[in-house]
Amino acid sequence: MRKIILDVDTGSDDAVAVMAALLAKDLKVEAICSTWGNLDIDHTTENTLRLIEAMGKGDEVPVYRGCAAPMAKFLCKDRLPLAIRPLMKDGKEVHMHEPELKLEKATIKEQDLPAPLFYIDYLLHAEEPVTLVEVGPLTSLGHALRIRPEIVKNIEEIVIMGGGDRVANCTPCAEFNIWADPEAAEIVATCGAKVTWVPLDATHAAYLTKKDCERFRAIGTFEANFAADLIEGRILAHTLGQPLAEPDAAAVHDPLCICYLIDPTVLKDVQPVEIHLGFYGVGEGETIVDRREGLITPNSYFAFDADRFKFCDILCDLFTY
Amino acid sequence: MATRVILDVDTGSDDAVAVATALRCPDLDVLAICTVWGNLDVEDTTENTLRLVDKLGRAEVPVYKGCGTAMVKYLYPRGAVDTGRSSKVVDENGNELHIHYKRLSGLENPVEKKEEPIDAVTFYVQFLRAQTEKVTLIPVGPLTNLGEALSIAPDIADKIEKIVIMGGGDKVANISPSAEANIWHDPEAAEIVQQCGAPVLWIPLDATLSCALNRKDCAELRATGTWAADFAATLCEERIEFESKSVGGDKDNSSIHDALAVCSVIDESVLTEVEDAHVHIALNGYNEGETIIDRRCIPDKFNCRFAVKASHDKFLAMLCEYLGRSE
Repeated sequence: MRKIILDVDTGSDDAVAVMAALLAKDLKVEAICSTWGNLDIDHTTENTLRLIEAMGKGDEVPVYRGCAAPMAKFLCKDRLPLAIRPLMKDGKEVHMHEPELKLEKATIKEQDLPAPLFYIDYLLHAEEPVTLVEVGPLTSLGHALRIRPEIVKNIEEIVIMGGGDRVANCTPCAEFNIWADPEAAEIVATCGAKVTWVPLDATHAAYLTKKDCERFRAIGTFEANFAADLIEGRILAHTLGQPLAEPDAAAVHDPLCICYLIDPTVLKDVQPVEIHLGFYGVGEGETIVDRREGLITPNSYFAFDADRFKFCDILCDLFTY
Repeated sequence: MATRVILDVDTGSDDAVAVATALRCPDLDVLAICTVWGNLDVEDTTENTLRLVDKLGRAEVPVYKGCGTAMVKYLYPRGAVDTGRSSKVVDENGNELHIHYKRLSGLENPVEKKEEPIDAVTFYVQFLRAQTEKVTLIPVGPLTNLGEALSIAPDIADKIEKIVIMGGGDKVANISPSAEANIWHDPEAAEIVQQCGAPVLWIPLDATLSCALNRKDCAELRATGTWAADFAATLCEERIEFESKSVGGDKDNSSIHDALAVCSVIDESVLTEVEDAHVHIALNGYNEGETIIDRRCIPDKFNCRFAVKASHDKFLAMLCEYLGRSE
């Protein structure tokens, strides 16, 4: 049984990842940290709480609230958030991440301890190493590693959904989670733990389609149906704003990290690479894969591809119980 | 009633004088001391602080070890601008001189006292959240610990009476052409602290230079006859020795920066000129770490007070009074 801590900005694909992780028999979710990112911290925290409550696991998994803003970048006026033009369909706004998951309001509350201090406390006292699954901006873990670098000794692996080599989303060269807090990402990427990147190259290769959603619905469980709802919403947003090569399809990034922990072969073409982050200017938030021959000291693994059929099969297995 | 304070130090010669002054002053209730990297690495600033607190017979004051490097500046490929002043300073006999010795004179012997099990950032968040009365913070090193704590839990700003920062400068700089060392070491943390919403009083180089101590002042301090006064006088003399060699010319005094921050909390009248100001910190480029005061005819809304002058005589008298108290 592998122990994991999830760090999420729930978020449509985050919600699918949370459900997959909590249903996986081989994973023990020790805690969930929320972070700002897809939505503000109040919404990502509330969405996370209501989701685990809807799954009947509200009293099993503690939720820790993370930071409301990146470590440093918003201190610079030229690095403030991008203005996002809403997508429109039939006169209505369409969002990749609706502000509120369509579930009952949470009655459970998050813990008092802020997420970065939870990481420190947990990891300093952990009796065995834990895997961190980071699928939002890396702000909380960046702070924790800055304050107590020695916590790295109890990290088995850090799985990051973020970055991209030949695929980008929020700027011409950056993926959102990493663009959102490049300084935190650099601290995490170079902390010394085993780091596995699940970038857009992998998640776009592992797109899910309307047909896949039909498969989920046929399963009939709450999680399968809710995942289908969320993914159909993403398919609409993709079609309007980020059309993939395959029509009626969406990248569902975050659960690919969970499926990798269940079956590592869902990621393909995983290479040791040296990654650093772009901080300023047009290259802000780019995951720079060092391509100089003979000069690199790998600091992480980077998945350049993924098996979309295996991804869908693993999700179906998880949603069937 | 004594003012409740938390010190945040990178001990450090002038930090040591500040800590000793605070612990000897009956008007201050030192709730805790946080340590941080800066003058020396955090292992040494912590060890120096522990030894000093113990030596002063105040082992009950908890010491929390803080951060070992800046929040983000050293991540940048060219973040650490060459300050261009790395040449060694030596005395007539070729001995290397330092402004902050790794182990401060008078603190050569190890002590039993250890730092607390939680780190300084966790301490700030948990302690301040639990307070019903506000606390005054006196950070006199890089502002990393507070920058982290305020990022993680911005709500703690409501529990801060005021933040008295030793750092920055208007017409005086030290580590770069326009920056003072504490702020230059972690400009992002300083900007976070400056903008956190709690009242901020800056004790910059302008103020600390105006009340620098000379050798005669050190003799006066030592003449009070206590261990603490002798210890402080020795550190001040070592600073004068270093600065007279490094700055050259006829410089024969030294600013005991951090102690002025502590004295300002004890009795603010030690500051003789304090301006209302709008301050931001330069985060990168040639002026990295500069405390930029809005100088336009109509400046942006004041967000702090900035001391530009202090009374040398009052400062010296306060040091003699508190450090000269029998233990």
